[in-house]
This record gives sequence, structure tokens and C-alpha cells, in this order.
Amino acid sequence: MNEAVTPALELVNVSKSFPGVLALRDVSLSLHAGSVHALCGENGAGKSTLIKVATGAETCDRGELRIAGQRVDRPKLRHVQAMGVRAIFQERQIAMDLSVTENVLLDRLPTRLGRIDWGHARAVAARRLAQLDIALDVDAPVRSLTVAQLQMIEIARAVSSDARVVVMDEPTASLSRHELGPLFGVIDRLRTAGVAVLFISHHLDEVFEVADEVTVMRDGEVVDARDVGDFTSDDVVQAMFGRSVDGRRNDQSRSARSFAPRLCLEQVVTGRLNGVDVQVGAGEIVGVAGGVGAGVSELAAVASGATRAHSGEVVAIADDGTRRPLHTRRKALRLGAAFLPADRKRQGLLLDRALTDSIVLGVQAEGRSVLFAPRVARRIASRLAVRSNVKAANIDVVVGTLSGGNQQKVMIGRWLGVDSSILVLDEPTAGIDIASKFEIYAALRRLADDGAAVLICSTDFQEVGQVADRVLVMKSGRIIGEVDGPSASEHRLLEIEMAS
Amino acid sequence: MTIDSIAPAESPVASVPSAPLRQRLGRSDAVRFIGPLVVAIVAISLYTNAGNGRFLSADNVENIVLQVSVLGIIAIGQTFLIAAGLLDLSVGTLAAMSGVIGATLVSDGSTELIAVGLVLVIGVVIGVIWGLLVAGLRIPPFILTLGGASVFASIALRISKSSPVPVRDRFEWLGRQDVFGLQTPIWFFLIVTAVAAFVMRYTRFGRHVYAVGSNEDAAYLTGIPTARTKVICFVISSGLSGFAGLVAMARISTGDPRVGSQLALQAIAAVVLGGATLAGGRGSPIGTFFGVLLLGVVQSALTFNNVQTFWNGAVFGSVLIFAVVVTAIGDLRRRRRRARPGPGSSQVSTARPESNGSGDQRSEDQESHNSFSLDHQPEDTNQTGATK
Repeated sequence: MNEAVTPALELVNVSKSFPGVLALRDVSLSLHAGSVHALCGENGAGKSTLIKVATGAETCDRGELRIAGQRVDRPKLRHVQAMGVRAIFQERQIAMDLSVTENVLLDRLPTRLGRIDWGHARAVAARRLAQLDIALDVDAPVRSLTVAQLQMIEIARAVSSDARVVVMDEPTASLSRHELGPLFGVIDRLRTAGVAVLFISHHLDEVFEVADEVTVMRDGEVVDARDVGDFTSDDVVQAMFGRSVDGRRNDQSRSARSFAPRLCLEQVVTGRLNGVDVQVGAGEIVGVAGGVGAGVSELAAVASGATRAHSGEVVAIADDGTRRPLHTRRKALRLGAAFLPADRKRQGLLLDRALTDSIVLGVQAEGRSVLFAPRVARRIASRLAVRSNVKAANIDVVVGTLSGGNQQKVMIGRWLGVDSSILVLDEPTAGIDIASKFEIYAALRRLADDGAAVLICSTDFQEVGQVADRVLVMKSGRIIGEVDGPSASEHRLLEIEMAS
Repeated sequence: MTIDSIAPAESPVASVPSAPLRQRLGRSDAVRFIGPLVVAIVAISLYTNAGNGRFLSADNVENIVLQVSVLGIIAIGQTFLIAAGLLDLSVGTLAAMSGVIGATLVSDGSTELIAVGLVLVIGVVIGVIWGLLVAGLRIPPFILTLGGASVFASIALRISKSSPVPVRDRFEWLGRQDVFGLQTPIWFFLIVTAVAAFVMRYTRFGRHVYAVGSNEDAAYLTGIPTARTKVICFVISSGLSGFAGLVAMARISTGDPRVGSQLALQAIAAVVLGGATLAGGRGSPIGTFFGVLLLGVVQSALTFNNVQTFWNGAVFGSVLIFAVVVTAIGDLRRRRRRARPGPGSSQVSTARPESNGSGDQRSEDQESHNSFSLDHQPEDTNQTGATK
């Protein structure tokens, strides 16, 4: 669209290589004022590198960066920022102990006579928020806010009056479905204000909801770029993977089957949970869907033994019918319960250590022999890395440098070497590309077919419907409804959630 | 059943390769920290020896190691704690208290073995208490053991009635005997180091220690017994400190209640010199060994160069500060390289992501480089080494 107008930001034939790999190959991209441009692609397709080049965090080897038609030589982060290009990254950059005002203005608090002019500061912050239609109390301490509200603060900080281009790297990854509305509202505002927005998401439905233009990348190249109206979601998927991905569930109406109970939660009460009953049978996949704060994550923690219920019972039921309580995470592991926590960086990986150390952790925790030589660890690691399909140069790579999808594969790989009859997953596919998602879903199905009891706790209503035999809907720490897998459309689940 | 079935059926590759040996060595703590330590030790020794040829005489070398043996045993114990992200400030006064208790018991007529056994039991019990309080009640070990240090110092003074307790000709085997040409404290230091190095590297417990220190939540949620790991670390440290106190007492034939005041901080310094960070997840007994040795060499070199003793603290502190600054700069550069590799690498950039990752050191930390072929097996780590 508007080819005649000078693009707000333009990458022309950009190539960027890291030693041994061409990360971007001859990529061109134009962002236009007043248009939302979505960037799609698998993990590792080159999106991150492209963002870095566009924001001046990296310089390109060949090609050029133009901002408002002006060529930028040797761009520097500050320089590009001064030209009105702003980025909001996935990691929240928020000072938790300060107020909303301070976080919105952060390094640019207005001063008078060398002292901070708080009245003025509050007014500026309030105006910024109002411009974006964000309803937030400027005096509120930030710690009391939700993740979605924190994100709004970051957007308000990034988008001052001189912003011409705003880059949002997976802004929806940390939000639950019904928190998307306000975010899309803000994006709408930016569009009408004539800002060019680059929007990155793994969710195609979001792309189709907000974007005007779509660019698809694969293996460091732009493989397709059109206005959104000329795309169907199948086109996008096809372009992303070079093949079509079968996202539909392979259904044999499993819900009619009955399963011998394996994992059983009875009247569980914790700080957030308010009398929850859940049963997962051997061979069954049960999904629990709920918004952020509904208690879904707490349920995963209790079911895996990571936290202890205040009252009620959490038990694993063996084949012979004996019931054993899952009191501690260690005990749960001994009873065959594997756990994938939601926050893989903080709760899952040994970020600054080699891939080996993270991926053998399950085997390491479960085994009983006294000795565990580095040679053995390396052998196990290289086997697990292949089985979980981790893409890494070698097993000595620092695990924190891998992409999100690969990190999650490491998390799954950790449990591949361990005999598990119960699998509890908290947000198993947060921040992961679609192909990896379906890989993980297929893997879960195979595990269930082999007799594992799988419990998926997720704020992604679409996801649970796609994999689970049975979906429980959760709100305010209670199970408020149950739907059979085949009929668990996102729509139906949201309906139940809204109804109560 | 196992989760084997999750493996993608189509994956033809049998294994993800190891990094080439040269890279692995280059990034191992052994080379990064121990190398510089050895260089420093050798340089200081040669310099001092040039001024006074007796510095590198067999007698003086043995003496240097003997002087730091007690500190070394304590520091090895502290290594476990620091690698697990913990700390114990009470080890020095615990050692002093142990020495006094051992000396008092023997001078009151008990046998040496009973005295040693009892002191070790006390050390282990204290370790268990620290461990349970830290792991169970989540009390910060810094404050807890600072309090403990004060308590032990008082108890040592009370038991000894504020004056050294002589043991005369007892405990010779523990502190003054010559075995195969070396004094027993040196043997104890070497053996403790060797056993600790083995435990940290080759046992499940050792790996647990690093996992807990690197990311405690991740370790706990995976099912690693984090509390038990911490308790054991405290037990090892306190037990070794008690033992070190006995060795110190035996060496000077006296239970001195005041020996321990500097030991805890010196031990922590030695561990950090050896490559550990107080944030946890790093550190090794071998590194600590050389850290301790460096402190001993510096101390002796100062004496040989006739530096007045009140400068000891300043030199000692400067060595430590210098070491952490150099390490921090090194880490910063590594992070930079990882985030932003410079252009103009010798590697050809036409490779598609399929090329296996075999570049130079900086390249393999690159995320975008972390792809390897699913089509052809990159088993040729030797070959890639050869092509460079």
C-alpha cells in the first residue's frame, strides 16, 4: 500500500551474517506511516536479527537502513532512537518498586532547580497514558499491576510524541486472551496517529486482527509480503514453513473412552485455588484453561508437587490402585511426575551453563547412582538433544543463547530420559512458533497413547482445545465448566468463562 | 513407559556433537582461572627468587604450603557452599573453637581419637543446623553465620579461659609429623582437595551443587533435592573447618582461641580467586587450591622482600580486587562477543543455517549459529578442527 509515499522506515537489500551463518539474506522491508506491519516466521527465521538491524542494535553487512527516506550510515542504537524508532522487547523493563509516573518517564523525569518536579512529572505521565487511552493511576505502585498493565507502561514510555516507528517484539506473548483488547486498542491509536508499527507474533489470528501488511520470513529471507487482505492464514503458514502444517486435531472421539485415574486432585485449596477437583486418567490429556490470575499456574504447581496444598489431596494412583500423595516436588518425581514450569528462563534452565547441564537435569534428579561423570552426562545430553529436536551447534552451547523454541525443547528433552507416568505442563508453548507447537502437541499425544496422564495448564484457550481430550475451564480458583475435547473450541471455552 | 516416544520419528541424526576440544578447554573454568593463577604464582616466585635464591628452595616451598594448609582445608569446604550459592562466615571461629575443644579434651585426659571424633561430630552437627535453618527457613546464610561466628569465638574464649591451651607432645600425627617428605597438614590439604575435586566433578551430588547454585528454582522444580544438597554442603564445610581447627592446633601444639578471626574471609577470597562467584554455580576445588597457594606465595614473598607486615592486608586485598576486576572484564567481553560478533570472521558467510556449527570460539555462542544439520551428520569435530 501507498507505494508512492516515502516509507517511515525502510530496509533495502539487507544482508547480515554471523560467523558461519547468513542470518539475513537480501531482505527488504518497508514500514509505512499509519500502517501496522506484521512480521511472521518460525523461530530462527531471522526476525530477531531483522529487528536488531531496524533499531540500530546491529549493523548490517550489506544493504541499507533508511529512516523517513534518509539513509542511515553506521546506525547506532541511540542515533536511531533519536530519529523516532522505538522498540518494545519481550522482557519487561520495569522498576518494580517505583510508581507508574517514574516508570513511564524513567530517565527523563522533569527537573526544576535540580530537583524533580513531581507535579509536572505526574501531568506528563498522565498525558502520555491518556493519549494512548490507557486507564492507569499514575501514583499506583507498579508492583500491584498486572503484566498487561506493565506492558502498557512500557509502550507509553517508548511512544513519546516524536515516535515515528514502533517495533513490538511478541507483545502478546505474556498476555492472556482477554487482555489483548487494550493492547490492540493502543496499536489502533498509534495507527491513527500516523505511526508505523512493526508487530511480531506467533499467533496468526492476532496478525489478521491488527495488521495491514504482512511479511513472512523463512531461513533469513523474505518469502512473501502482501497486504493482509491478500493473505489467508493457510498462505502464511505455507510461506512460513514451505509446507502446510496440519493444525487440526486428529480425532477419534477419545472422550467416550474411560481412563483409569492416574493423577487425582481432590478439594485442593491454596492461596489462589478454592476447592479444585481434577482427575487425569492414564492415557488422557486434560487441559485446564483460564485467564491470567485464574489460578491455572497454581494448579500446575500443586499437581506437580512443586507447592503444597493447604488442604485437600493431591495423589498419584499406581496401577494396583495404591494412592500416594505428591507432597514435594522430589516426592512427585519419585512417583513419576514430570513438570514443565511456565517460566523456562527463571524456573527451568541453568541459563549461564552449557546445554548439557540443563538437558540432563531430569536424569540427574531422578537417578540414584552416586557417580555421574561428565562423560556420561555428555552422552545423555547429545542423545536427548536429538530426540527433542533441539537445534544447536553442539551440546556445549550456553543454553541462554538459544532461541525460545529451542529452550523449550531443551525443557522437554529433560524429561525424555526419565520414566514418567504423569506429565504436568504449565504454558507449554508460550513464545514458541507454530511448527514447534504442533511438534509438541504431537509428542504429548504420543505420550498419552503410551499411557501417560497429561495435564496441560494454559491461558491459551485455543491451545487447550487443540490437544486435550477434555478441557476444564477455570476462573477465580475454581473449575467452572467442563467440555469434551472435540467441542472445546476457543469460542465455546470463552463463552463458559464469561458466563459465570 | 518412557517418554521416548516423543522423539520426532523423522530425525536421522544420532547425536548432537560436542564442541571441539579446543573450544571446550578455552571456556572451561580450569583454563580460564587456573591458568592465570599459576602464571601469577610462577611470576611472583621467580621475581622473589631472583632477589633471594632461598625462596624456591625445597624448604621454603614446603613451608609456604604448610602455612596455608589449614586455610586451604577450610577454603575447600567453602568452595562447596559458594558453588551452591551459599556462604559461611563462621568457619574461622569454628576452627578456633574446635582447636580449643580438642586441646582441652586431651589435656583433661581423653584420648586423641575421642577428641578428634567429638570435634568432628560438633562440626557436623553445626553444619546440619546451618543447613536446616538456611534450606528450611530460608534464612540468609550471611547473617546467620555472621551470628554463628561471634558465638563460636565467645565459646572458644570461655573454654580456654582466654589463654592458649597447650597440648605439648600430643597430636603429632595430625600436625607435625613428616610423611614421605611432607608434613601431615600438607597431606591433609592435598587429599581433601583431590577428594573434593572428584566429588564435584564425578558425582551426582557435585552436579546437584552446581545446579542449585546456578538456578535453585529450576533445580527444585526438576526434582533435585535442593534442601538436602544445601545441608550436605554445610556439613562438609563445617566438618572440614572443625578438622582444620584440629590440624592448626596440632601444628602449634596449642589450642589458640584467637586463630580464626581472619580465616573465613581469607577462605572466601581464595575460593573467589579460584574462579567462583558469590552468585553461585561456579567454582572448583582445584581453582580454590591454586587460589590458596597464591595467597601463600604472596604472603611469603612479602616476608622475603622485607615488606613491613602491616602492608600484608593491603597487598592481600589488592590481589583479590585485581582478580575480580579482571574476571569481570573478561565476562563482559565474552557477553559482548556473544551479543555482537564482529564482522570479518574467517568463516565463509555463504553457509545456510544447515552448515554445522564449527566456527571459532565466538561463533558458536551465537544464537543464529546454533543450527546444525538434520540431513548430514556433523560428527566430524576433528575434521573441522583440521580445516581451520
